[in-house]
Amino acid sequence: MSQSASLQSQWLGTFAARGILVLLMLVTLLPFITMFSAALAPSGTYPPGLQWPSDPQWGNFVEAFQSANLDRLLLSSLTIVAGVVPVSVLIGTMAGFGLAKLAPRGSNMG
Amino acid sequence: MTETSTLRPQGPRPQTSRGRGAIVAWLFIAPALLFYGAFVLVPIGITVYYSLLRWNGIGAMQFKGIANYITVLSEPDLLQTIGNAFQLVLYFTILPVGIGLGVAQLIRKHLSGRFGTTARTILFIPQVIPLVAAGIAWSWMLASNGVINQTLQFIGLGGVTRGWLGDFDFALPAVGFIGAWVLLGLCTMLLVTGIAKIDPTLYEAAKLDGASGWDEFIYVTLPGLRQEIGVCITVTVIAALASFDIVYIATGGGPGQTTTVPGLEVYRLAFAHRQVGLASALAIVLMVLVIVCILPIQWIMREPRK
Repeated sequence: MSQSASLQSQWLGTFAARGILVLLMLVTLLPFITMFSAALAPSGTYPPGLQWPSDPQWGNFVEAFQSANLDRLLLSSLTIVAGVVPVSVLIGTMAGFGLAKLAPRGSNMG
Repeated sequence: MTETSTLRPQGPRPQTSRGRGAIVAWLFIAPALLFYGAFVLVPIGITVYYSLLRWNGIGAMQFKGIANYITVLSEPDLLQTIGNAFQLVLYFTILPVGIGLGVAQLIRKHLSGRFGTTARTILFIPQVIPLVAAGIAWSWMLASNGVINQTLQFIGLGGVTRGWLGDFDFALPAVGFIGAWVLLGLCTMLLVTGIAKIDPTLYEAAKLDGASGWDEFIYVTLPGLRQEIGVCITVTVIAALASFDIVYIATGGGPGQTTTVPGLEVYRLAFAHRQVGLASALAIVLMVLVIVCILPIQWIMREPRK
């Protein structure tokens, strides 16, 4: 009897925990969902809030890609990545090794 | 800065090397030091120099001593921006760290399960989008006909609906809420990773001693997450005090001055009002404030020496 009661409260606890997490996930996703539904609205309209458009304009994505010259922009991003990532990983690793393993005097102030 | 002081090497410290070893060590460190100097220290030095001038950015410079600092610390409008930044700390820090701790405790038992993985992944998404995108999405959701008001009406709270970001009383909390939304993922990630490292036998022992779930949280989880909580608080306090993107996009500092933060004011003073000296002084004051707030957190959250 008492065991089944404790099992039941445990199950309830898990259920409540999952409920809270699902709610948090929904709040996290809400902006993305609204952005997505707005992205499908006909251009020139200002859709209020969350509303699935009656005639989803999938072409909006293509148009946005073209009118923002996204290929050029992505190329710029790629150039930055190609420079920043190798350089910062290399000099960061070197400095980390130098500071932690070789530990010269003055490397551990504060 | 935070990494070096919180992530100490485990185990005995390596012997401090001298002579030839020290030269090799400094050679390893030199490139990073060079970059740090050129892109962090030199600009800070130049900013300090500018902060002593009266200068419009192009014309003649006029040396003014500490006059700009006196203005920053006496002008009510500028002091209000600093006050706003400290109010943002309440939202940027307490909400994400508090909720993150709750989430960590809740999914501790299902860390590797599909549910735990999904929850962690979804809660982390806001971290990977640009702050500008977050600002745009939320300013649109918080508009008078946005989703937030739609939802409030739906659950029968139609009376409280308003244009949240245009309201004198609610604009700053609304901006704080956007920041909390962004930072929650980072805090959750860190805290969940940290809780996974706590020895499970501690929880078992607590349970055998008759500890309730709350006791487990207070006596096992919190002490075990000391360092992770320290990192979370550090990162979020910096994000609040040095905020710019979200405020710039969502409210532009308005209505009135209610959401203007120092970061935004620095930008405005330097590029709209052409008061480079005053902007630099405010930037230096902001930097000092951030350091003054962060250092005690570092000391308190440091693992006690054994």
